Amino acid sequence: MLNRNYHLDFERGRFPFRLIFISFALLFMALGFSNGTYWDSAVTPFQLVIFGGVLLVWILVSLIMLRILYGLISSRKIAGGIFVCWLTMTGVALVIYLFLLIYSDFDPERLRQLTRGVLTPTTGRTLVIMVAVFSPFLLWVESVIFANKAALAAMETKTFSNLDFRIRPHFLFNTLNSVAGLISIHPKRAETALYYLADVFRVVMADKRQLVPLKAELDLAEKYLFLEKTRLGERLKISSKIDPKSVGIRVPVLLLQPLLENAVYHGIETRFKGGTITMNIRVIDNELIIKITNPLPEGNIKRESGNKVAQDNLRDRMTKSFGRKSSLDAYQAESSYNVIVRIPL
Amino acid sequence: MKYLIIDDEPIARVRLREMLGRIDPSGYILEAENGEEAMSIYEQEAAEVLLVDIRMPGISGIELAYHLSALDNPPAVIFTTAYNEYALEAFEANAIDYLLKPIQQDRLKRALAKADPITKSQGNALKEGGSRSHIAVNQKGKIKLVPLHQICYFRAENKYVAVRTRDARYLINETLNQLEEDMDDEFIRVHRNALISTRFLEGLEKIDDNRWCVLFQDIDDKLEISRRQTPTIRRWLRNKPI
Repeated sequence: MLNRNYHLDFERGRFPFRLIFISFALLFMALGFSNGTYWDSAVTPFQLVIFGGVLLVWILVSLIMLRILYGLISSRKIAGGIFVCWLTMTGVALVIYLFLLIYSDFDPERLRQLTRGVLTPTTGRTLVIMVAVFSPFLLWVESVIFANKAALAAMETKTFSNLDFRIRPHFLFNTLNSVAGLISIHPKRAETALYYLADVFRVVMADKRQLVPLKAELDLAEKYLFLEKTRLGERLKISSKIDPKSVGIRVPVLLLQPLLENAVYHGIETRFKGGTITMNIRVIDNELIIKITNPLPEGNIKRESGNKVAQDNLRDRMTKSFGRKSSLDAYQAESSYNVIVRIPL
Repeated sequence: MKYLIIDDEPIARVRLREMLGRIDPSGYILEAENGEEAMSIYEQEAAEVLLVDIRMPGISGIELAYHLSALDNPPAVIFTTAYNEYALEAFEANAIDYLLKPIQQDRLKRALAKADPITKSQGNALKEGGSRSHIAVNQKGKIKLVPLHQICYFRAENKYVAVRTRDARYLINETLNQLEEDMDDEFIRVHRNALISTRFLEGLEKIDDNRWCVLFQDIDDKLEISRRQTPTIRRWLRNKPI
């Protein structure tokens, strides 16, 4: 929770004016609470040096921690989170000090007694200044130094959360409409359709980073195609050839469904008589090769957008899991549109 | 009451038929799988109310409604749509009825109760939303839809505009300016009285010193082009994708 806000606030090393403002407000509040009495006690040069030293050490420790954290922990989110925790802890110390200050009626003697001499008004004051003023600076330094990495991390979370795979609402609502129609004419099939729809959406809403056996993807594809067949009837025909060696291979989740959805949306729904979608899955030379083919739209239909979104997203996810050796290519032949996915074993 | 259901999904049609039967048991219900079929059924049996799906193979429900709105006695049109595949705000703004899928019976009932024939201005508003893929022509009292990609050129002739395809020629009651506005870059204006398709454009031929005409693939017609447009067409021919 914490580090999500942290990333939002400090993306691209923007200077945190708001935080600085709040810290100064806190600082003045703390100073204001301490009524005149202990500002009278003069600070000796020795004390000043000590405070300065403590301050410097604290900043250095924080920065070194930052470096180590980012070096050790590959997840930017977690490293950033720990760093923010460290700053929060020092912040909590500040709150405790304020509490004690109020509890002791701003009496330096009572404060000293309460904390058995650990905390004096002067050490407490140092703490206030340190945390209130330098925490935002440290955060800012962190965000400047690691701006690129933070942006990268933000992008990583983005591509995996909201920007990624979108099932077409068109499919959802049309399917619901056919289920409503099926209830009276074919209740059994309506029931099955609802179960399958639930299954499809469960996967769509799950974590897109995981790898699953191809078998699971084929099951999902079958359920999805059942739903589309319910809608489109005879217009949708499927022909598939699947190498039995391939079913155990681990592939990114939602590999087939988006490609099949494109095939149906562009290649079947736009055609009066529909057509056949062929799915050919083979294992050749340590490579899983999936080819999905659909007929071209009929007439002079302008290409609707939406194809590229699903393809780009899938390509992205494959690169994250398999690196550059995986590929997704699409090409248009004389009367068909073909997508070829290659995944190294 | 006569109804015509137009949807490419069989179950969607069954469902609408069922609901219509419950709302108006004495109604007469026709079905069509797509816009083209709907047009030909409508010519034979003019239904009073059309329930039109928007996304279908061939002409879209929107374009179908536009062509219908140009008729002398247009029917009432109620759109059915799964999602805002078309800007629903445009419907709202022009008081065009629509139902969202899954369709609910009481909504349908309400829509039927206030269904009025689609007006010309509603039709024009629909046209704004999407470009046209067909031209509706009147042929011996029947409406025929001519796909734009079959059209070689439009030419203004007296009060009408002639539409030339490879095999036929029709007259339509539209203006060249309006047509030019509706078409995308595939059609270019070569003269005050002509709008041609670049798809069929083959070359230029000299008539005399500084007058040229365009030649088309497959047909022998030659259209004179205005002096002002000559460079544009030359340029187009030079960059022509092969």
